Amino acid sequence: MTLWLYLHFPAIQLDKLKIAEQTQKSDETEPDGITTELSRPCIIVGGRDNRVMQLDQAAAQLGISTGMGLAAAAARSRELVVHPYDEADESRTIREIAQWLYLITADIALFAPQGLLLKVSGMLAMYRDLSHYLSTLRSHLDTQSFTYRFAFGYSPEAARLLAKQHGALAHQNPEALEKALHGLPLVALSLPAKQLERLQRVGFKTVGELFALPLVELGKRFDCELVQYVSRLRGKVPHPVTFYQPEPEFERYLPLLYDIENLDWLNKPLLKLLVQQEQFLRLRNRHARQLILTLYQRDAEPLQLEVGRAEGTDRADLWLNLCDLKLSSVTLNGPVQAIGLKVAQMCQPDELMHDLFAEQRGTMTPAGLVAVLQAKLGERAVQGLTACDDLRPELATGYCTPLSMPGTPLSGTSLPNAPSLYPEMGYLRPAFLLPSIEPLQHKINVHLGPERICTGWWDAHEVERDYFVAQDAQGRWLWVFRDRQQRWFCHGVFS
Amino acid sequence: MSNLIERLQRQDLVWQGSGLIGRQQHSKALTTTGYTELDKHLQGGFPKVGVVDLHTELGIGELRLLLPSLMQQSGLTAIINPPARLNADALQRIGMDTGKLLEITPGCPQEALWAAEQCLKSGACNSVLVWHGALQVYQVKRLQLAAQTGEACLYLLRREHYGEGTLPVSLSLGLNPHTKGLSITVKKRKGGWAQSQFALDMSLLWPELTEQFHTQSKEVPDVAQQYSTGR
Repeated sequence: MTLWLYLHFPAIQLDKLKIAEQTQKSDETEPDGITTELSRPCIIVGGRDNRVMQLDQAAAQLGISTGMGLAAAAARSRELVVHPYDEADESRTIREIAQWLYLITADIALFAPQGLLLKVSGMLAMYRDLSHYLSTLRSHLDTQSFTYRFAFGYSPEAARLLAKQHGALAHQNPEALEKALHGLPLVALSLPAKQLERLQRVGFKTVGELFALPLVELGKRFDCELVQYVSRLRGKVPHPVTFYQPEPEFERYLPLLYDIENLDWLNKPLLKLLVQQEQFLRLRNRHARQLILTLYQRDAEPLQLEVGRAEGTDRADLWLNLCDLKLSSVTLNGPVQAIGLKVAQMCQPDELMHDLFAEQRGTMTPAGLVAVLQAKLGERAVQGLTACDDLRPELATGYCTPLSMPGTPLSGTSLPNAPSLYPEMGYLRPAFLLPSIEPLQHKINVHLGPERICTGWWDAHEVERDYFVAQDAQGRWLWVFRDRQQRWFCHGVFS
Repeated sequence: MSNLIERLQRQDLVWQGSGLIGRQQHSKALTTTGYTELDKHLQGGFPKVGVVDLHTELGIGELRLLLPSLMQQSGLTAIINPPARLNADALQRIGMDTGKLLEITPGCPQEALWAAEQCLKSGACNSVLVWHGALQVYQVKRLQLAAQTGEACLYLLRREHYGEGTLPVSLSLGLNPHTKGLSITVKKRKGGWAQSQFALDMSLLWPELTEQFHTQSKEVPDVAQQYSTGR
């Protein structure tokens, strides 16, 4: 028989809120660590008629219980913090937990929004025994600080019912489990209310009483759906489960405890996400090259920021730096309620070739430097150069993303040693070209020229110019030209 | 007396100002400028690490002064806030690897200094060229420290600003146009004396861009003559 383990997370949303609160508090409190102020009672309400679904200890002390109406709960205390139930978020979180557990156990089935089913039998080949497996699992799970209940079972449904009813059922011998299952009240079964009522009218009170009846008899009295359910519960019929496949992408959503208007305060929650991302990437031996950071603002469109780094990395601190720089130039339209993080581009880690004997200088690689500069100044402000095959001077220089072009010099040798004379005069080009051609305003002294450039008739950017090298009264070397209409312009500076 | 000094020197008990850079590091801390004459005056060349202040107008040959030393480097060269756009064509023609150039055009002077600091301390850049206005002492000190962290050299290209006092730079040069190339004044040199003015002959590398070349060789082709007089 296959052994299953069911993990039930009764209060994911509440736990998440508490974690956020604790991290915030630990930042604020002094080193002595005494927190005299008790946290305010907190409940989560949901459903059509706003019933209490999750509540913390402080709320329980006030006498609030699950299933209570919102009005009744709110009447108990002024201090009560109420949050609406968010099923989508819980489903997302349970996937994240599954992803986390996937590191130590293989077969996981999702029972969204609050449960996970693990197939234990297969994993016992890897762990010494069941207790070893369970302790590994629990210590792994405890790092996420979610409350959970668990139970073993010889059918998925049995494990599920036991986990929901009992807190922690670490038994694994079939008799004990069977006994626990027999002791469950009938209402614990997930059957339609009508069916339950019919069973109760017959006189069944516990699951054991139901099991005592042969299946054939049950089939005669009730419909075949009940028979199927019971046989699934007893492990006689296989329960169809689809196992979880880890996502190839990293995408996280983190609601914030309070609205944040100051972008500096986003650091802490952002770092949390980035650390998760680091773990995600490291386990897959991948590096992130581009992130999409989404700021969900109140009463405004979500703001999407792309943070890129030419050379991928998985380190959270480096990404936090880049995100900080990017955020420094952002203005918000409203307070931020939640943040989302997604890895848009992943890459294989580069095997960097370091010079073993060169002295260590600085800490950044060229690509890292470019990423930092681009994050702060914008992508347009940091550019690389490449020479294009065009005779028109203004088109001979192309701008590209830095470090992308090899940019090998035309001639292998360095500076020409022999003085170049008139035949090579065409090679004389100024190091600086004015961003726009300017009319020549002052007196110049022409030294060299002309060099006629007459081309481009095919793409509507025709030039017919005679270029001269000239010097003005201040001794500056200019590159000037005269067009067909005999007008003089300045185009470059021989710096 | 001289005997005594000699003896003390041999025992390394006399500290000499000219040895400030350190005798053993001397050749390592400087990089040749590519002009033998200038190397002689600077006793080895530009510093590899530090801040070089160049007081210059635009277009008199200030970049030509730096290009030979920039071309020897293996790391990146950052060009921050240039007065006009760089011409990759021209740089490749003289044999420069344009793939190692970063052209940074920041929005304001503060950002230019920030970018310069980042480039300097990254360790990825060998030299950083910044076109800038007047500077404060603390700004230069900060850049100097960044240059030491990343072992890079910062070249400040700007007009001479009177009244900003002496800045803590490693080397300060004043550049003026000259018929042979550039007339250079060494205004300040760390570990050495400031020297009087001298003329740097650039005709070996850029003969066409010296006035001397044009006054000497008068054989301007007829076509050009025709142009300069106007057809």
